[in-house]
Amino acid sequence: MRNVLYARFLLIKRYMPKMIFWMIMPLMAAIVITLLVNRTSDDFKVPAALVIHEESAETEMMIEGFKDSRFIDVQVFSGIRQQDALRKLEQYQFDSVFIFTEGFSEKLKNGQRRNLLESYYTDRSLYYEPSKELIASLVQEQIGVHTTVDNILKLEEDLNGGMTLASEKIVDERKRIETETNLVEQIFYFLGEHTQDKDERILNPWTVWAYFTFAVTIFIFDFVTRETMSTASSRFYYMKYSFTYFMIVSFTALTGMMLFFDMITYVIINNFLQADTSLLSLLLFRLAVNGIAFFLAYLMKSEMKLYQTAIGLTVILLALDLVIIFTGLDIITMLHPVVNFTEDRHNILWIVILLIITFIWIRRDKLA
Amino acid sequence: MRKMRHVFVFIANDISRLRRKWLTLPLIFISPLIFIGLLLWIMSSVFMPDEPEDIEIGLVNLDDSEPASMIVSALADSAEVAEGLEINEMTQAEAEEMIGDNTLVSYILFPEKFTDKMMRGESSQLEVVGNPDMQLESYVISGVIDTVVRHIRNSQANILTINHYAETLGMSDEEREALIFQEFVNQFIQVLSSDTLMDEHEISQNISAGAMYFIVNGLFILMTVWVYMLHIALMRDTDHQLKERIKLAGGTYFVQGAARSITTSVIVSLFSILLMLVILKLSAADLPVENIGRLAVLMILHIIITSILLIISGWLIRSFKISMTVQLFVILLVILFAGSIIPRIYFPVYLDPVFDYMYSYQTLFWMEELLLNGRFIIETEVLLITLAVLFVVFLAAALYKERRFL
Repeated sequence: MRNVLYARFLLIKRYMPKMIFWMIMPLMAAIVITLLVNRTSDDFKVPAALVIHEESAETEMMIEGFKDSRFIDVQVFSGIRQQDALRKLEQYQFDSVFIFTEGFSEKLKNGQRRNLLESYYTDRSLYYEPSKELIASLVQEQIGVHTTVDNILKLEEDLNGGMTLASEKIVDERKRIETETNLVEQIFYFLGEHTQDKDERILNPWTVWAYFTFAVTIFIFDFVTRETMSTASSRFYYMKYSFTYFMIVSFTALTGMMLFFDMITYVIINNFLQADTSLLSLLLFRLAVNGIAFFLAYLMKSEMKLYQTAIGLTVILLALDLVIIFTGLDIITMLHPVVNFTEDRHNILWIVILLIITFIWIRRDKLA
Repeated sequence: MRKMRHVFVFIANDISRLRRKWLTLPLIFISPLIFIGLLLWIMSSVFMPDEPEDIEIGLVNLDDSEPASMIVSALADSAEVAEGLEINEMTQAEAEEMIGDNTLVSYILFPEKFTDKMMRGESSQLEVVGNPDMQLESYVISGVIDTVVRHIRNSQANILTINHYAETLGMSDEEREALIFQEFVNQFIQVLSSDTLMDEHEISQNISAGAMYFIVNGLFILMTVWVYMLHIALMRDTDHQLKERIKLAGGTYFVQGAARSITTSVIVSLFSILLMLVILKLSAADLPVENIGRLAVLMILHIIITSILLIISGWLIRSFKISMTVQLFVILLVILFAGSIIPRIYFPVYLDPVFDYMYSYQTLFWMEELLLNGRFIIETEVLLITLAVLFVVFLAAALYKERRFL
């Protein structure tokens, strides 16, 4: 065994620096891409326009509320420039346009609830619904405040027959109550998963890491292709150790090394990027990917073909991931190693397949 | 003209290699077509839903009190919360069963003593349970439910203010509770009728252009991906001795690169224009011949520029593995900054100037103008300048590869 390991080390020594680079690369890529996405994703805003026909305290509050939203980039037009705003909407420069007509604050104070404002959107508006909800809730809030004030004043008149309360004081009191209490909360979870970890992240660093690992592992295992295709492999027939044994020892040694790097990756991503995954899932994923890469490299006839296949398979897996997100077909989900890893579903199917293939391979070797 | 002869030699070599493994050609060209077609179909059915079936939501009430029952039945009766929603009251066991059958998207759970806690000013929690097999619909629902909960929070502040003042004004406890209850229900029902708040209009430049937009985008992405895939397929590792013999016979890197670029561009252009003609025929779009010509010019320019970009990035990086990954990223950047996956207006302000100089944005923009908006002109300045600049870089990189010193 020691000789085999020494031989393996000698063969690999020339490629060692590159291999170490490739083993660290998925971690680097995951960190860089996650940081990049987190930094810039907040800047992706929806451009929307507000047209104000008459300025009032209520419309000022609307503008403020819209500006406070972190996903809308608001542009305010005065009433005479309504056609400009609409024309820009037609040219798909805006996502939606909301128009506050004259007499808006009057209608609001009188308690009118129908057609308080106009809204325009296009067939390419991706964010019309959330923007509409935002405006609706702002308007609702205003209406609520006004009706509450009216109700309280009426209440006072009924009970005490006097008007000692000022509406501004009531509004202030209401604001105080609103900030001090937060009565109803809502949590969302899927049936069967009572762990309430709603991922606020757009991108799971582990997903990025997993896809890179898949491609990079196949790159690392190109030595298998090189040695299988080389003429020197025929010497193994005359040696004490078979080529299969040699390859299995190499595989184990490399997998051990990669697991070591995976532990470092786990610690780093867990602590710095706050993304968790189970160690067992990580282990199974690593075994599955290494197995797939090994047998792929064993079957390929040249290194270029291996690299092309690596890129091709990674792209196919990415496309399948998108299909799973939209349709959720079970067959694809069971066979997709990366999805199994990120959803902690344990790649048992692939481990079984790889074990079967390994046994077939060893038997064929023994029989030969 | 010896150089031209060299170029032809390499082109012939590439074509004969392709002919030898002719099966890879359908693989390269048809598989992205299928994937992108599938994605487009899925995305268009998400963004333009014509679902006759309503999404079903359940309401489970664990609170026995009267206010809660009234709220729950008021919610169940109101189908106005949003279009395409059906809300029914049920028991928890029924809801879980229906989720198992995939007939229910999600249910809202009102916990015990919900109204009690609300009246006393204590926090309570509404649980929304989703169906893990219907994640996309659950996502749509959670937006609606977010709205409802936000409105509820607003109305609490109102109710508590009324409560506060009613207390200070010396109302009796029973009357106050009745008042609160009445107000609560009023606010809740107000919340639900928020659909009529706005007078909504939809405008678009071209009413029938909805699906066509996705198709044009898909064609663009497909074209770019084809260039990348054919380029990768034609990549080969020439060993040292072969490289020496090529150099001795006078085959420079420039010639090889030009040949590769010509082969890739011609084949991908043929397939892309063919696909475009098929799409035009199928969608019965009435495009005059000169516009088809303009479209072809746009596509060919884009394909040539992309292939030269790939070749340059392949030359500058010595290792095949790294260059393949880098080229993948180049293609992704080209597609992303064309405004194809995320439209230009949603990008951050500091990234906006990039679009003015990005050739892929110009390509996609003018393709959309020609196909969707019926334009009769295209402006190719940015494309031609980019082509010229890249050609100069191509020459420089070829000379760099050719160097005999160091």
